[in-house]
Amino acid sequence: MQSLVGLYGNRNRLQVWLSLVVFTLCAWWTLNPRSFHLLDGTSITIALMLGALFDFNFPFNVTSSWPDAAFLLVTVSVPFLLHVHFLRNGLKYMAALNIYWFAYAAQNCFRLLDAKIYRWPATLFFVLSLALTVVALIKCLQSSETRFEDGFKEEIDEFEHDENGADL
Amino acid sequence: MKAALTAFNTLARRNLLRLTLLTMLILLPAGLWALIGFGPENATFRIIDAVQYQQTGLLSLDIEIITPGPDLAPHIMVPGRRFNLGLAEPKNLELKIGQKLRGSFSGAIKDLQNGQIMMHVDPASLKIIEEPADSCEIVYSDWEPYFDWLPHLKVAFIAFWWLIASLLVYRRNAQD
Repeated sequence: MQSLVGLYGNRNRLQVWLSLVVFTLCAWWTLNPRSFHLLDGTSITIALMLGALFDFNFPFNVTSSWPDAAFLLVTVSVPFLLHVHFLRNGLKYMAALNIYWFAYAAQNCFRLLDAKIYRWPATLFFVLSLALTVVALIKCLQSSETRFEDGFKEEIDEFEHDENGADL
Repeated sequence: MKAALTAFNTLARRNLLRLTLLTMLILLPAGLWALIGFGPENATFRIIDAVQYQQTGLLSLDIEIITPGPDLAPHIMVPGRRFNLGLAEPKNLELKIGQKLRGSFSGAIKDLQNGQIMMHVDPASLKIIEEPADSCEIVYSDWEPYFDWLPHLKVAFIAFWWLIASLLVYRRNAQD
């Protein structure tokens, strides 16, 4: 336990605060899964874009059928694509923030199953969305930048040594 | 005749926008108005889960449609579809989980077209068709005592993880 205290004590404070603020908002929306979520804007945008081809119900209701399940698959695939993009470009912190999108995808699965009155599967997805929100917080803290001195320690020591040598 | 046509053309030309808007207002929601209220009668369904609440005395039933019955909106009352019903406990019937019943429904769509669907059943119309041997009584909800505490539990969940995060990012000394 003591080894965990201060484990990420050298992290960039701005990113730490951003992680906590995003966690607070996403956790509150996840804890109220039938209510508003900021990422609903992206789901509605996708529904509008594909609305000419398929008649989607969003939010899901009891009459949801295969078009809505297909729409759910499309919205669930978005965070996977983003995650691959971020990791391939070395954007660790963005990839960690993207886990909140996975939590939102799980929340959408809950919404569809809850609307169709499948209680136990819906509960599992609700718990999964909460777990992913917590994982996202920890991952964001882990992926935050360390102080630049840690990354350039050898160069700084060499520079200070040269400076001291020049003064002498 | 020619004068009438001329007058009609003049009227249409001058009020084209108003006529278009009026036509849209009439035609576009026409399909939606048919869905706002619907009342399938004599639909049969099975109670797949239920709880009773002590505070309100209401029953919350999760039902599955078996046969929809004559219905103006057959795409809503589909066999196999599940609904949640809230109703007062019928005085003349003892409802149990697993029973097959017949009843008259009424429903409405809360928000037009893509909204949530609310279903109601007339308790006086309920008749038990079949009661399997393994049907069980409807019990009081175990979670009801905690409903009032839900907002506090949500805040406590967030505060707990703030505490964990604070411990993780705690700076042991000034050099961190």
